[in-house]
Amino acid sequence: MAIPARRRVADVAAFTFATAATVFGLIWLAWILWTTLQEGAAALTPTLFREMTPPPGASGGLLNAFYGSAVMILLGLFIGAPIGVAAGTYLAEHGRYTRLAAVVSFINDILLSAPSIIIGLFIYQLVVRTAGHFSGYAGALALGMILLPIVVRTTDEALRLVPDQMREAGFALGLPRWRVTRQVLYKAALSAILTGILLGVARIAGETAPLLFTALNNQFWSSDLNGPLANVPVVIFQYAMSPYDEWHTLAWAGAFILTAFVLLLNISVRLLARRGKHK
Amino acid sequence: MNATAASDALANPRPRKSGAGADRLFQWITAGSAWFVLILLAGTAASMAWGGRLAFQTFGWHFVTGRDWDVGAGKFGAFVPIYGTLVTSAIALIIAVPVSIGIALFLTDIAPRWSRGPIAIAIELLAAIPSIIYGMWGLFIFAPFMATHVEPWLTAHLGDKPFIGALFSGPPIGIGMLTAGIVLGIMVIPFISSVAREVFSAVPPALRESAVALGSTRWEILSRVTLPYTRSAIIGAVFLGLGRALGETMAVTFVLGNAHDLSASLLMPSNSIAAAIANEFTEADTDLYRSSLIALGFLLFVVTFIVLTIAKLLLLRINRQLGRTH
Amino acid sequence: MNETSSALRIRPADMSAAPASNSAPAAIGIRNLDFFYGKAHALKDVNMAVPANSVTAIIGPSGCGKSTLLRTINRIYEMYPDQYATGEIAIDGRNVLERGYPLSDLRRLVGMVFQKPTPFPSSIRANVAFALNYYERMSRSEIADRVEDALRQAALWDEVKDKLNQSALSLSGGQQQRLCIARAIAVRPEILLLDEATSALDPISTAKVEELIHELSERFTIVIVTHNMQQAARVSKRTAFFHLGELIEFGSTSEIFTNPREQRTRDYITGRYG
Repeated sequence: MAIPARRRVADVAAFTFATAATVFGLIWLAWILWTTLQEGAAALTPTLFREMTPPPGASGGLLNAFYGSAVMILLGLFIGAPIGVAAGTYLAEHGRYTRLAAVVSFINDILLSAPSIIIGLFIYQLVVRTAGHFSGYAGALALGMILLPIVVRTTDEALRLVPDQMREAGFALGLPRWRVTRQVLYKAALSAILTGILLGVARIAGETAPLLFTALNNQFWSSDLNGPLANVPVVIFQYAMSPYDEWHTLAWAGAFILTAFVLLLNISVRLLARRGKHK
Repeated sequence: MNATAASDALANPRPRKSGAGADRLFQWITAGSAWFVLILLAGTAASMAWGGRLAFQTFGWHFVTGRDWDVGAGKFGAFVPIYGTLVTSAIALIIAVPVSIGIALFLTDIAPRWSRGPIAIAIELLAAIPSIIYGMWGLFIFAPFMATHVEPWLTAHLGDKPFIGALFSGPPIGIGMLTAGIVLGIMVIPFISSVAREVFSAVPPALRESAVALGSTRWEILSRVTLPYTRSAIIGAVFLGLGRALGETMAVTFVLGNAHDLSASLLMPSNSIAAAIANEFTEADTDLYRSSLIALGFLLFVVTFIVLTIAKLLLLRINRQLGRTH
Repeated sequence: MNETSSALRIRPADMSAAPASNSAPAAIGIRNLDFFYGKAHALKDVNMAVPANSVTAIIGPSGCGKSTLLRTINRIYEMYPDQYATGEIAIDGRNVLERGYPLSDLRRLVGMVFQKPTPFPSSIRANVAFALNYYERMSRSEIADRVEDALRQAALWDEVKDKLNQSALSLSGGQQQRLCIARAIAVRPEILLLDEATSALDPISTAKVEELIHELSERFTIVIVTHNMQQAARVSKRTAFFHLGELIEFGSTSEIFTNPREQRTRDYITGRYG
């Protein structure tokens, strides 16, 4: 006696649905990546890297945008990552069983998933309003504050993965806590912490909304962080929403480079992490 | 892990004379950074409440219920953006939740083992793609596709039915709540499915074996054992996805249309809170205009904070159930 | 005695298969069974006839293959890709390891209870009735009768009859395990496999379950795997001793524990190795 039909039908239906759902998800991924590749590759020219963003109707490049993005991402990294590592260290080490750490961990995870536009508004109120103008500093600060919760979470988890025996061994040798953390724990958790930071960088590289209210954009070359600064996401936004074809082309080029950067960073970080695990 | 005497010693080792000062400094730095996280949240909340106060003072409760968004007359009401946010998020969840659970079932039970890693990474790449890319693809590729192939079909077949007909009427422009909802749904899939996958794999093997030993089919195991067992986590994941959908800015900005009109039809353009702020902030020239946009941001903050808190509480519960430490 | 049997090269399995020692026909006839976890050869040419309506215990040091044997009988190992078995296991005259043998028949014939109690996240009633609809259409009242019947047989009815709708997780560990037994016997299998079923229980619950096993053995063929030799001695009529995947000795429980034929059996019984 085999399984009655009604049970078999339900099982097959579930099997089919699950497979279809996965194919569904993968189709969208393929479609989006293929489109970006197609439109973006067509727009790739060396002038992208030689000229600045042009006025409507003229041709140009994205050099100032690349520069601005790079500067703000790096600066944001230097602002957000150290605080994030320090806070993550508190959660995993000094404050492990304290109420404060539990609350901070909870709040941090909410910040992690919260809309980034809100951070942008915050920095706008705090920095742009008071200074009276948009600035690359504000943009970097906004990116740093978006990076912060990501680094806190990954540092906390990375440190917790280090077995307690290592801590005990350090203390048994008479090392003060800060030495144990620096010389033993950070070394052991280094690759995991770096992985987290790099994934965070991949995330902030694509952030648009917070930059809209902080660094805004700059049509010309500027290395002055104290004024509006060109950046890739906002350029893409403004150019894509415009009615000009040349601007659309530039937007696709920017989108392609941004996507390639983010995906390559993501995949290589994950592959490195997996290789490290198998060691 | 419970605090025992040993872990107390770990938490507070007696400092040697040479390291005492440095240790205290280190303690201050780390604790201070932890406080910084709290201050960041508090500051965000406070600054947006402060920035929106003009709007709240001017309009009071009518800010939330008001349908007008008249820049010239200086009348701003949040109802349409709130409505658009809720509708697009609802569409997103209707799509994302079943698909995510299907993907989780596929990856934990059906896919050949060698393929699970790569497919999982591929699904997670959906989360890595910046939302502005979703926006561009949505605006230039997907919206025209919807306008040419999908929306005419919907209006033709469903436009004159009772009740749901009103949802599918109007010209097929492509830009609108349905398109935005679909794009949003795709963006949310990886968040829900990765949690679902994690908890599905964490179901104790003996539980699954018991179900198999009694003669259950794969679907029966999923519906009668796995899903009930992981119920809290799945709901938590759904709330997490909802939190993401509510606050998503760039993708929605491109394909929702920035129209401050209220419409029953899903095919019509509308507005979301985040999209309104993104679209109009740089053009806001009066204090009241700017304050209204910031007040919108405050509303979004409050709602996502509540939703994400619920999500976190539910996910903490399953972590405890599975024996994790935090 | 021991030297004689080795000198005569008489395999213990042959002796135990002789019908003279048991009156009942074999419920499970295991012939030339080999089991592999990937490349690892976990069961080596096992030949065993498990008598019906009695309790058979399988003992041996950890890693000897006793759980593996149990999991081969109901083919639960097929959930995992690189595990497979060759040979024959005959139940009701058919080889259940055959490709064409329908698994659903096997699941109905053989029930299994695991080391840790595995109540499903639903009510007590829903747990016991879990598989009832799998094999035959039953009316509401028939289901209710079967649930009560199973719970009575599992000596759990009096403790739960007033709270059948409560979550199964609210029961104590010992009660949960008896619930799992009730759930397994609700479908009226012929054979019950208990894989270290009392290892996770406190002594009182263990005693209750052992008493249960004794009562159930009148209606079911029961095979228990245990690392607790005293339990095997208390509960079973026949005992099989395994070592490194081989069936070393299979005989009546009293014989195995008082006068085993094989040296390895004797070493294990007397605690030479664990």
